[in-house]
Amino acid sequence: MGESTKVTMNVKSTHFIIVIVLCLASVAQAFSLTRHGPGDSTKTWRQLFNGKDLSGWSHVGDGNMTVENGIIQTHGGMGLLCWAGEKFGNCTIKVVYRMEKENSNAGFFIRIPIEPMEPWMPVFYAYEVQIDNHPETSDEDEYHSTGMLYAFTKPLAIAWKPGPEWNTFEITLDGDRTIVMLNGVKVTDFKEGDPVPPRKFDFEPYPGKRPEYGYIGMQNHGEHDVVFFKEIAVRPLDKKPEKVFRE
Amino acid sequence: MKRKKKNNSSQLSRRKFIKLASTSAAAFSIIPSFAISGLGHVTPSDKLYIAAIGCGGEGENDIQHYATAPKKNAVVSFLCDVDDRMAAPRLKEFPKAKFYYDWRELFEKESKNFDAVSVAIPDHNHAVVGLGAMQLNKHLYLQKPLSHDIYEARILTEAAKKYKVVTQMGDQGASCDGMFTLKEWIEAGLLGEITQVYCWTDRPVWPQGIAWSDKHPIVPKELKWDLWLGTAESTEYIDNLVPFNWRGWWRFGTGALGDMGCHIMGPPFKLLDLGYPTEVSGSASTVYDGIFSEADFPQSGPVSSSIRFKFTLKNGKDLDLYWLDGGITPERPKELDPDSNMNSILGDWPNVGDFEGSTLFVGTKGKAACGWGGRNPILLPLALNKEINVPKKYTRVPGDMDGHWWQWIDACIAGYGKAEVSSPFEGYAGPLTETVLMGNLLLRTFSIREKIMRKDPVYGDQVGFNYPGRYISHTWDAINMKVTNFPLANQFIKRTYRQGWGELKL
Repeated sequence: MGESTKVTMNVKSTHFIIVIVLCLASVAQAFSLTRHGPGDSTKTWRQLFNGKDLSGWSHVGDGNMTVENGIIQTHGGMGLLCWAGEKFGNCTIKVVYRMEKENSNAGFFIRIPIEPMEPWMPVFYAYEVQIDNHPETSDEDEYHSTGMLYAFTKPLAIAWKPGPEWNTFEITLDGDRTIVMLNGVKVTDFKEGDPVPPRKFDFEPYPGKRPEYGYIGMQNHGEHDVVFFKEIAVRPLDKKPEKVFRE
Repeated sequence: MKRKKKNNSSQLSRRKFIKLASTSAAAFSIIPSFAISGLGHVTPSDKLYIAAIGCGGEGENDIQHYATAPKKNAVVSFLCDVDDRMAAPRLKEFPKAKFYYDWRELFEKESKNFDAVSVAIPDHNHAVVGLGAMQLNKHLYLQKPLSHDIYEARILTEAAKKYKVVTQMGDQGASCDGMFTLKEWIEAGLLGEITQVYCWTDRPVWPQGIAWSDKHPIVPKELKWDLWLGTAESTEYIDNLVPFNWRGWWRFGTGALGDMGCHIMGPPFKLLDLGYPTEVSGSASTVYDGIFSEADFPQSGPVSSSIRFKFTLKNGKDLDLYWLDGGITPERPKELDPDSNMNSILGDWPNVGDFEGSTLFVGTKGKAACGWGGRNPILLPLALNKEINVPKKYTRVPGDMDGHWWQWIDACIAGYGKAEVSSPFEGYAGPLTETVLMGNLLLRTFSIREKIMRKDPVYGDQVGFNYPGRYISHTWDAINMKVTNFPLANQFIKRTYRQGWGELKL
């Protein structure tokens, strides 16, 4: 519980700074930020990463992930570390990560329809909340930048901090709506059926409806893309009863 | 998620490849032989020189796979298309490749300068190009289905044997990891004895069940219409026929079955060693253009269909395979999570293994489902997936589905008979295509109608129609390619080619 409180404090101080920044830009956005802010829920965060090892997680594909000093690190790839045996929906997922270099590539997968046996199925059939501050360096457009549902959404705001600073995603799965807050700023708000650009390459996801409840996991992209994760936590939405599938 | 490598050994991503190929001659480490004047291409070589017929759609995908082969052992040295709009992007990516509009001219003038042919064009011209390539002793990658007609598929299969070239159909799922996983599950007895198979697809996703248009606009200036028509009967152009809607017209395309049948019936065909069907029955949606007036749209495939293929297994037992398309699906298995929401692109019903089409195996002990090509296999009930303890007995094709193209390149370089491919014409792709096309024979027979005069006690003589081919089970003599109990069906086994295109002969 102590750890959980500490984390909340951290997020609150970040929140406070961002509110000031945003007040200069947009009062409306600041309002929505307050409304969706992390301090409001009556529910508490459930930590999926115990800070010690990868109990509860299962890795598929190439490379692996290790834990050192309470931090998960990616090695090689492409692979996926998936929370095993449980689907999540109607909840908020908090992911605290940092890049090793100024920019590194990874991603956090949500709404994975079936438990992965390999890392490509989620690429095609789930949503990847992208981690990549500079998609332009690989000729990719803004639909492929940090906080986007990879290849599907366009940034509502730019809120990433370069590596090696810590960044926080709060990914809300609200029925068929997916909201991504990056460092307290809403960068993605997508509802099933919203228009998406045409699929350009065969490594991009297929457009189409994702499940309301799905598996989650984070990607180890490749040897040159080291990313660290220090917190993965889930909190049910206030308005809906928690519904967890255990198979 | 960017610069994704689908294979560890592949250092070129798709995106990088496009840059390289378009800006740098260094993409080719050896000068293609055709560039050296007066020298014919010498085989064997460490590289496969490919002539790609058809540059858009699946052709684009094929060409990209050759150019990104991990061993960098393929060179797309010729491009051919009848539509400038399809050719333009490829020409930009492959400025060194020589371009032809007419594949016949390419074959005639350049046959010494390439080793293999890759074909991705509308179905009605598959067989003539494919046979033409084999007659030049070229290895062949031919998109699915192998052909438009059953007869053509048979000729192609025989030709593959006769000319001893490495053949591969473009059903990349045949090389998919999932195919091997399913094979291991089935052989380990997880499903018991398989008694039924269901195959279904969201196709057709283009217009079907419609009348041939009587509006004939001017052919788009970029399209060489006569070359596009090729073997097809002479006809006027209609709106939006290219690049996609030709699939729905029997004179060019092979409908929902042609598009997805090889992908979706492939897993049972391969894993259960089905061979030719012995019987085919089924029905198709009927469309009405007036009150009690059934429309007569024999040119167009139906909106949806339901077909049963009966096979006699090697153990002597019969197995029924049910094909469903156009939104018709089997009943949702009760073993799926009852609380799961439906219709996501994967994971529940009907998209249990993929949204474009799936297969369900029903066995005496359990069920398994997968998407087209065997992708994303799962056991039902879902809880069983946790307890799978089947050793990986079979070596996967390196590169998973992408390896389908790459293994063909390797096999061509190794030479006929030296290396295995997942979908060779002999023994697999040929019989599979014929089976898929048996479904189309059933559908076309379903729409045969005969005018009859009916005596009505009140209204007198009335014109009516009789559908003699409906609701009968066609008995198939596969060896002789003949429906034995309904001779009218046999008109759909072989087309007459347009004048000037002769007849397909071995």
